[in-house]
Amino acid sequence: MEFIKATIKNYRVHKEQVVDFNSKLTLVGGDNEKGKSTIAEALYRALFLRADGQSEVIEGMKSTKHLGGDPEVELVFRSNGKVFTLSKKFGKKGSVTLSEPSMTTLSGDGAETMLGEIIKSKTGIQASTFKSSVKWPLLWVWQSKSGDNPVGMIGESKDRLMNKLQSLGAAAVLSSSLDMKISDKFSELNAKNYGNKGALKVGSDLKIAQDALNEVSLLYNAAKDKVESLQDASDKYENLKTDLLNELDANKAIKDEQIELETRIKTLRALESQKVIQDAKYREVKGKYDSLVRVQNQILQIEEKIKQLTSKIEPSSKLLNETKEKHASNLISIKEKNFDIKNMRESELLYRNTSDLCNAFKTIVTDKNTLADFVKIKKQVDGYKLKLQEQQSEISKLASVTKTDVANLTMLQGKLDVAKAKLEAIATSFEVISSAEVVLVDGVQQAIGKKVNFDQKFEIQVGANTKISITPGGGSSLSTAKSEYDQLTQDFEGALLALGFKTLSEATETLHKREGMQLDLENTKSLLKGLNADNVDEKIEQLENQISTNNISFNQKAERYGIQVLDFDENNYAEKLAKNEDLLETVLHKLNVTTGIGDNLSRENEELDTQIQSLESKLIDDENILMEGQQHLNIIFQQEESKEALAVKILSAEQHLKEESEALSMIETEIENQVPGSVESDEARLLRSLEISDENLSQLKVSQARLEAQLTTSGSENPYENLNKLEAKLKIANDTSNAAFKKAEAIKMLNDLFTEEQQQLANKLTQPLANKINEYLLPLFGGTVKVSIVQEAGEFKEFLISRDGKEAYNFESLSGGTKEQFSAAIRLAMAEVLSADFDNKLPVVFDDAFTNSDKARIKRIQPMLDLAASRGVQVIVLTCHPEAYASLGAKKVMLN
Amino acid sequence: MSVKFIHTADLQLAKPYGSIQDEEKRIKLKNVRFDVFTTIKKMVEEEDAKFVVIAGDMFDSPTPTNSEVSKACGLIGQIEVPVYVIPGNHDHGGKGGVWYQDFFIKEQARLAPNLNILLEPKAIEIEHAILFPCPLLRQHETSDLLSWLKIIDMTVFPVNKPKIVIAHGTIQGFSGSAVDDEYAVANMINLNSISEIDIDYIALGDWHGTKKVGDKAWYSGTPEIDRFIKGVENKPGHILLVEVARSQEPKVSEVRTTLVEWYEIEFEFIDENSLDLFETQIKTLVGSRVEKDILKLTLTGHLGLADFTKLEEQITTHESRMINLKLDNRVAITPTKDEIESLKNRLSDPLISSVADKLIQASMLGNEDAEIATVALRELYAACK
Repeated sequence: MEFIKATIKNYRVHKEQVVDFNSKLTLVGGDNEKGKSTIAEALYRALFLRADGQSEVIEGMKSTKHLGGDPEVELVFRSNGKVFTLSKKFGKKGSVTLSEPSMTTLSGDGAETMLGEIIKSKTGIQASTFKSSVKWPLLWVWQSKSGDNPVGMIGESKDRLMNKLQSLGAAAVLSSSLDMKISDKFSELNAKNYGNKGALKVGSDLKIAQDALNEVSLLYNAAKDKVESLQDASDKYENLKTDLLNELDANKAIKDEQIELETRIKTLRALESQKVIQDAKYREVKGKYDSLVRVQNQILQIEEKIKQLTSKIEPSSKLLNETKEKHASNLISIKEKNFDIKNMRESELLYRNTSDLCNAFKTIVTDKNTLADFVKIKKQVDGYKLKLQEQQSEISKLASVTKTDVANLTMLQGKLDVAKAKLEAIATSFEVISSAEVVLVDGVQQAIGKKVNFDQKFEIQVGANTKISITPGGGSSLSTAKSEYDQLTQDFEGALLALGFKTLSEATETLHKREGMQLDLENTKSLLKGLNADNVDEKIEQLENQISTNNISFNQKAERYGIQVLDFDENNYAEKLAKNEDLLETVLHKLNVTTGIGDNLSRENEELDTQIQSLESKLIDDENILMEGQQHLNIIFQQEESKEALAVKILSAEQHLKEESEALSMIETEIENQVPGSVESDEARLLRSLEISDENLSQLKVSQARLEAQLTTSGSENPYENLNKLEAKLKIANDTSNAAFKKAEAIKMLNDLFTEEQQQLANKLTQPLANKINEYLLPLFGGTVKVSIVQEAGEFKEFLISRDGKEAYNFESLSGGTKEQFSAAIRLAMAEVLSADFDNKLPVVFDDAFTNSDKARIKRIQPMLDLAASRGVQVIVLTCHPEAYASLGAKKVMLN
Repeated sequence: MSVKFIHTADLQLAKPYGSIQDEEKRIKLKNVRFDVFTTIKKMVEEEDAKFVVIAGDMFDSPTPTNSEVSKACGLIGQIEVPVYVIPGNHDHGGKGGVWYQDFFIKEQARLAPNLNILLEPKAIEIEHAILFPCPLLRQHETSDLLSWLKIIDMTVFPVNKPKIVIAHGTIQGFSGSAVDDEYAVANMINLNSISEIDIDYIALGDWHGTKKVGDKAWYSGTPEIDRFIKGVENKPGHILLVEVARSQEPKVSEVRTTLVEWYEIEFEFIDENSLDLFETQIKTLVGSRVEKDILKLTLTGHLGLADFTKLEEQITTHESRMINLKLDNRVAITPTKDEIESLKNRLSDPLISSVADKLIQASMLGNEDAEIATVALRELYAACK
């Protein structure tokens, strides 16, 4: 079936639009809003929508622009070599006609029925259900729906498609109804056993069998435990019987031992009484013996002591005597030394007095010498004093002029000189060097070459006509200077007169003379002062008194000392003094040595005194002890005959003591043999053992009673029989479970195999279609593209595409562009397959179907469309970019 | 002077036969074991036996129920001579065993005063003999049960009375308990240790087949067969009538007593005729008897899918008729050529044929999945019928 021509009237934007279709490729171009989609819609509705009716659908078709009447579509198409004209006028009183040159024109339902037969689909769909019923969805690619998954569009075409595909694939066979029946049966059976995720279902035979097995297992284990515990209790009971017998034996043994212990304690007590008696006996004998030995020891000790003291007293006496002798000898030496010391002290006094006199004499001599010196100075002083008087008288003869006077005069002389010079400076000198005229000065002719000085105003007249007035120094200064000079001359001369001088030089000379004489006077004064003889007279007197006093004192001392001083003179007293000092030193040295010796001897004798006292005291003590010892011995021997008799007594006592000791030892040994130390612990141990044994016995009896109770059965059931039955049940449950498992697994295996085989069969069937899609996609994606179709339970489930042998993607996961290209290829392939039922021709309408593809892509889409056209698909492309399809080679229809 | 007595053992009264699912059949088999007392009573009367010796395991467990105790006592009480019983490993003489339970003691006194339980290894002089019982006081006794005999002063007994040892256990070199007892080393009886002692008969229990194990030593075997018989030598299902006199070899007669027969058939399925052959064999053995026999079937070989289902049907029938059918079905399901063809060559049903093909391949792999695959094949085959 192919479209030849469509005429659309009063349909939305179209007043009247005619489209002539090319048998293979038609391109309908036009800008947006030009009615491209309306043409696609008009063609579709002409085929499927019932013409008469009143609804939104039909109202929406009406033109708002052209008010020419109801929408009309006339479609001329070819089917099975015949050209049909389908005319539909849509509206309340819409009409349909179908005509063909060789047949009577049909109208109404007749026309729809025949149309339906031709296009092999339901036509004349009521407007009310039109929107929800989709027809030929594979062939109509609506605007903005081009990327939809075609798997959902197969719908009513499926059976036809399958049919065609089966005839395409020579080897492909369809599953039979028995196949499906049996496949469904196992699927159902499997679903009874296993859930979607493979979990075992409640209520399935296997689950029931497994639950039963678990239940029986629990019962079996419980029964087994019961029998085992019975057997165990029985064995324990037998063992317990033996344990009980053993414990009873042990208990009896302990009690026997306790009786033995009691006997032992009795024996011990008897022995201990014996021991007390024997012990007293022994102690008595021992006391006697000990006292005898004690006496013997006393004698020996005293004798020994006496011996020791005797030998000690003798040397002590000797030492005492020796010490006393030494003491006496020391006393004599001390006396001698004291005598020497007394003599030496007398010499010392003599020497000391002599020295004293010598020194007194020396003082007197020294004073006499000083006195002589002062007398000499007194003479010099007197000389100088006389000279001074002469010099002072000389000076007084000269005019009395002072340095100040001279200076005053000199100052006045200076001032006078200055006044004179000033006066001279103001005066003007006048000289006529040459003149042809007579020169008069103050009316006086001035001779040529004569120098005249003026110190006051004067007039010069040269010739007759020339008069010149000259005032030296200008104003009044000349007169002032002259008066100053005169005053000073008067002052100077007055001053000289006052001093009695005529000139200044006279005054100066007198002053110099006076000053020289004054200097000599001062010189003499200082010489006098240098003698330092202010009190010389007093001093001379003082010394003379002192010498006299000292002489008296010296003579008195000499008398007192008894020393002759007549030979003392100024020349020998020093020698006497030196000699006397030597003698004093010598005697002092000797005195020192002798005193030292004497002191040593005295100290030694003090020590000797102490020694003597100590020795004497010790000696007395020893002698007293000695005496006591002898008295003690005397007392002893008053009681005992003799030492020998005492020794015999002791020997006898010793024998007696030995006998008693042996008897005591024997008793002690017997006691030891009874191990008295362990009696208490043995007693405690046996008590403890008995306690433990009794406890054991009671525990064993309790255990026995408990086991007896456990082993006593009511006889209402036989645990062994129960176990035996459950064992068998367990085996059966196990077998049942195994069988159920095998059966369930077998069903699962069958279901899996059927599903698998079904899929393989489906794949065989759809392979030609996949190949065709592949061919259409070749120009777009190249040689490595591979399309596969997934079927499930005889339905198309998924179209998959993969490239370069990589992972396959399902339709939904593709990009927008790829979706519309893949979709187009699928539609074209299906249209090609389906066209076999439509005299190998079927139209496919693409309404702006490649909006997501760029120009380059659209270029590559064109070979795909061309391939379809060459295989019997009438390709109708509606686009607002007709220029992009320039190389498609399609008939172009442009909408205005 | 000789005396006759009956020697039996291993009655294992109240054996539960738990593996038998049909409760009626199980009870029936359980009750059959009590019937031996009726036989004994009859023989005592006929043969003028003076007493009965039960050498252990009179009960199957140490804890029979009260009704079982009553039943046993009631039947023993019918026998007109004394019955001497020692405990065996199944009904040992330990505390907790049936012999100490109040109910038994009372029922024994009330119903069976002729019943004597010998719980101590101690010589007993009875009217016609001296008995030397060797009771088992626990399930597994590790010391020699006869050892006490060696220290007995035999001269104290009357010279004219035969001396009879009664023991339950395993004699050296011959394990009677190996079949169902795990402790083979326990309960040992060393006959050599008493070879020097002047004994006239040794009545043994434990081994379920009747067997002479010494000049004077016999296992009586169980009077009612309770398991499938292994070997020709093994002869269970008897009691012994013993005639004994001082210093003479005892005269022992075996009397068959078993009421239920235990058969065992091993069969291999080789071809399509095997199934008919098997059926004929069963018929020949059992005939049309119902609830009389116990059968153990060990089946091997191969069967097709359809024949295997037929076999299962046959087995169901036999199970119903027998007291018990113990089945060891090791027959491998191997689809026949026709069956394979019918599954694989289905031009009209491509799915079934390819699934069947896969299953047939998988079933021949011999692994765990192969077994599952075989079951699956049966299911598929059945579904396609």
